[in-house]
Amino acid sequence: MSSAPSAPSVPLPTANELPRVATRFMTPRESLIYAAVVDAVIPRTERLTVECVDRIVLLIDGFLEVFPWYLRTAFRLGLHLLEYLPLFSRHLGRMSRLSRTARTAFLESWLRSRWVQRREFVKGFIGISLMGFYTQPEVRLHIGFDHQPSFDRLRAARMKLLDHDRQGH
Amino acid sequence: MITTAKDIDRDLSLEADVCVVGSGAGGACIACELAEGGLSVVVLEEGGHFPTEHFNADTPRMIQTLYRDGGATVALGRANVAYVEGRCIGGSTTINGGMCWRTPPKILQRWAWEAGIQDLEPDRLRPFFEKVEERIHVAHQDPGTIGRDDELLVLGARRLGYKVMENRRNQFHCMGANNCAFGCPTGGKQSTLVSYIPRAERAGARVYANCRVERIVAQDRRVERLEGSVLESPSRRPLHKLSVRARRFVLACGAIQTPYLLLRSRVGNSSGQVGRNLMLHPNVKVMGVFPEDVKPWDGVHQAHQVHEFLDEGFDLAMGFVPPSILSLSSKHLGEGSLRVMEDLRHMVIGGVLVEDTSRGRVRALPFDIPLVTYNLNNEDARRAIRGTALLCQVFFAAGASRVVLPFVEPEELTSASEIRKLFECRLTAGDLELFTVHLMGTCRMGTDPRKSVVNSYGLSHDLRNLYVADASVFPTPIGVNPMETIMMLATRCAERILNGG
Repeated sequence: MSSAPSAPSVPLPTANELPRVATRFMTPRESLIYAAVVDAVIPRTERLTVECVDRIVLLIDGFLEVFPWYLRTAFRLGLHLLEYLPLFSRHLGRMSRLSRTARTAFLESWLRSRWVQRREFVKGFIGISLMGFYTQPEVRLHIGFDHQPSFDRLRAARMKLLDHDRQGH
Repeated sequence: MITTAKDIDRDLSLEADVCVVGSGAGGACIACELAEGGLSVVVLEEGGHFPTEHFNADTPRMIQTLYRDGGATVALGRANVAYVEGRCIGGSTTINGGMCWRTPPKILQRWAWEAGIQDLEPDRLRPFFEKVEERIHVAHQDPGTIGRDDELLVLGARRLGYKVMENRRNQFHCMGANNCAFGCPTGGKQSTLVSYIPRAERAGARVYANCRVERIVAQDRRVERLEGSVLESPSRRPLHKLSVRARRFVLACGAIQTPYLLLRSRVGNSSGQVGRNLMLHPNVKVMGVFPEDVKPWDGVHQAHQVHEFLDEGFDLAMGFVPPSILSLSSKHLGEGSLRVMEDLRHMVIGGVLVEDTSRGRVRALPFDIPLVTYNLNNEDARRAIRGTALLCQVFFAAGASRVVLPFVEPEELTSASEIRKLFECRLTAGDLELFTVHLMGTCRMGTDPRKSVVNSYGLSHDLRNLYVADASVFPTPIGVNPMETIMMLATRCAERILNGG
């Protein structure tokens, strides 16, 4: 069921061009594997290209702090598993050493697998990577979603209403 | 003044008439009623204290601070069900949509017949519901705050002749900021953080955040004390020991943590029912894409529900979630995901809530690991798929150009005539993308101590001074949002305690 990813409009990085980030809860090796996943998952099109792999890795590293020890361990073990799984696919290589196209194709084939366990395994990694992506200000601006300004306006409006109530109207 | 870890510099030893564990719908409510009734009350909350000013549009940050385990909580089974629990002052009321429904009479009758629960006649319960509704300002939404997404759902349902109900919500001058699931940034939603907890404090209750209860110590059929830790925030590293002695104890930690605490303490489970009977109102999410500019983030989280199919065991509603959360269940990566998100401003995000017949279980594994399992049965899967089909129909009736489905295949529909595809492609439970915020039933009420954990008022069958006051006492699912039922039962339990029960 794997479908070929659309042709990227920017040059493909090789694995050793992946950003290396000083993470607190992932080892350097794990952060590199995770950067490879994020790099393969986030959109890059002519309409929008945001180089934010390092920011996403750091964001998710922050989540590990609030995970209980067993989830943190499962996440890290999952990364190592993800690193070696492509060796047993047609890509014949470790995740962090594959080209972005190959990484994307591998993850997409698992995400669209009829086998629930396969889907569920990659879905978590893909989901949190995309969560990190859609949190980026440039991305929110691109899709026209920016909540915070309306919060500030609504807070002020509610304060006015409460004042109005207090004055006995 | 809520005491947090920052205010505590040594081991904490507390005494009170009543110790309440949890500050959500059940805990805050019972603490307030007992404190106003003249008892000395201590409230312990595992999460931190985050006032209204803390809440903003930084969704990942809000999840890290307000949700248990960063929101990464899943019930494992044929179809995994992602669930969330609030872990902060206010508990899940800080992060829920604020929908308030009285317990449907047919459910109360079922509880009376099947579990033998006493005193559930509507006339007896009315004063409790009224008290709760007054305390948390239950009211219909101001029409000016209702968003276009809600209007479209109502339009589609009415065109099809379906019964649409206007939600009542716990809100006071709600401005429709639509950030309910990540803390109300205006203070309009009357979560227990801004309603019951301040009121309880005014009545003398002492509220402690960052205090985790780890063990119940019982002797001679009575709880002697609770033991736990004061936790550093946000690392949750234990800083100091915690010990609380009281005449009575109330567990209100929700339907996962309450049974988990009992199981790991090995108390209160002579029936073997603690942790069993987990019900969770599984939800599926469906997105209607409209030609017009909907801007689903403008306007209240949810103002209406379609109750036409309650007797079939499901209802339909809409509820916006921000793109960062929507993407967690993305079926695409790369450009495919961006294409979906670029349509966000044209979307109505709807959901089907199933009143489940499936059951799950909470277990306590060694090394402090809670295991939650839940197996969606074929009947509930069938209802979720039928609900999805009906929601698609509502969206098309309202003018949707296409509907994005929560399945790998079919992925989307472009007209009402394609709805039949949902039934042709033999979807199974494993194909469903499920989530929930309604966890219930793991310490159920009943009169038979062999089949239930607590009596009709929440008092443990095994321990004479331990009460449970959260959704874990529900004997069956209720088919509607459970907050008001939890609060009603907690108020009723408080009255029982104050009357010496």
